[in-house]
Amino acid sequence: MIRFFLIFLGIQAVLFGVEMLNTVQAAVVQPWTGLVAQASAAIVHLFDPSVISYGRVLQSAKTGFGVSIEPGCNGVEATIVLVAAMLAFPSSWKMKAWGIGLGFIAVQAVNLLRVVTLFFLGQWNFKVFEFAHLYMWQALIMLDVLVVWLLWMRVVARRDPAAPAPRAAA
Amino acid sequence: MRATLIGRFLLIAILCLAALLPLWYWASPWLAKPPIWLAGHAMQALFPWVDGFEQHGVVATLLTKVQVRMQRGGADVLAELAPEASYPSYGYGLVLLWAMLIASHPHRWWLKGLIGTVILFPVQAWGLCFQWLRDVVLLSGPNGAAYLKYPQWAIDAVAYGYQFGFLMLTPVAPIILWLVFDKRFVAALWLEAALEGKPEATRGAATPTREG
Repeated sequence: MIRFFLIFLGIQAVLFGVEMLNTVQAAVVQPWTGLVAQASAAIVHLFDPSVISYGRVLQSAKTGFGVSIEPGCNGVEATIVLVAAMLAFPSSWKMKAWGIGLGFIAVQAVNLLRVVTLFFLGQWNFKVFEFAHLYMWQALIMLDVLVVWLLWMRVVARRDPAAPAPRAAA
Repeated sequence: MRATLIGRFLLIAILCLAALLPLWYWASPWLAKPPIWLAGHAMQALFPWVDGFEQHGVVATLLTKVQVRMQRGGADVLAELAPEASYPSYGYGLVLLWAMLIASHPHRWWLKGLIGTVILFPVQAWGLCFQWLRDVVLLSGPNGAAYLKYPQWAIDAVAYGYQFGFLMLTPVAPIILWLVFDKRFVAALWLEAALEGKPEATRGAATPTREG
């Protein structure tokens, strides 16, 4: 377990450092954040046709309320945590690849739900929006990462007989 | 089917989060005292330009000797920098830990919750320290930079420490603590899934085309 945590923290720290590099921000993170804004706008458009998106901003043309998708809200950090946990856990590379691919989709889907709900909450009540944005959804996204990892671990246990079992404390 | 166990865990954890977050927010001025005390004393011990610190509700203010130029009443004046940091931005992990412990209900969960609460204080203090450091080192402008004379690597380290504390350490620390406190939950999930998969694995072993 200690080995898992050390590898997990090491990979997480390195991946986060890479994410912070200006070149990675410009080439990957910012375009991705723009895509998240566009996808969120497409979902919101189903309920509110007045919504527009530009860059990282999602805005209601009717009320003027807008949200800017900033670091921590684009799902990249949550994905880094999930990738680090899957890479650190002993399993085959094939299982890791499947886990990371499907896990990425699961985390991003919940993140889109976060952006969309926050957009509507913000138009209804700004205090509730702030509370949900800063605390509730931050915790929920990490809970989502944990559950995705637990589900993946079950699949590894079922299909990857070579993987060593985690030990329970007495 | 153990997926039900994970589903039950998730549902109870979400309900507990929803119930405990307002309670935690109400109690934040008291819960903020230990991490703010820790962060303030750490900063005083490590940096000679720190004069002291104050707590007003959930907001922690660092008093410094770093002078910055600012406009007041149309005149250019020198003022001492006093950056603020808000405890709740780094404290919500406490609620996540308690919600997960209540949801998985390990042996002596309440004691583990109390121990976890204390372990999270330094994590929260890290966040507060680096928010203060960010404001002083990165946002104080040319006057602040001239006073501090920090090399570029130190400025980069502050930027990394702040982002890592805010975006990674705060939400991940309670997850790590929960995994340590309830190893049985993970081990039980693994064991049952492995037993479920045994016939499948045996069949797979007899089939030459299956990949391990």
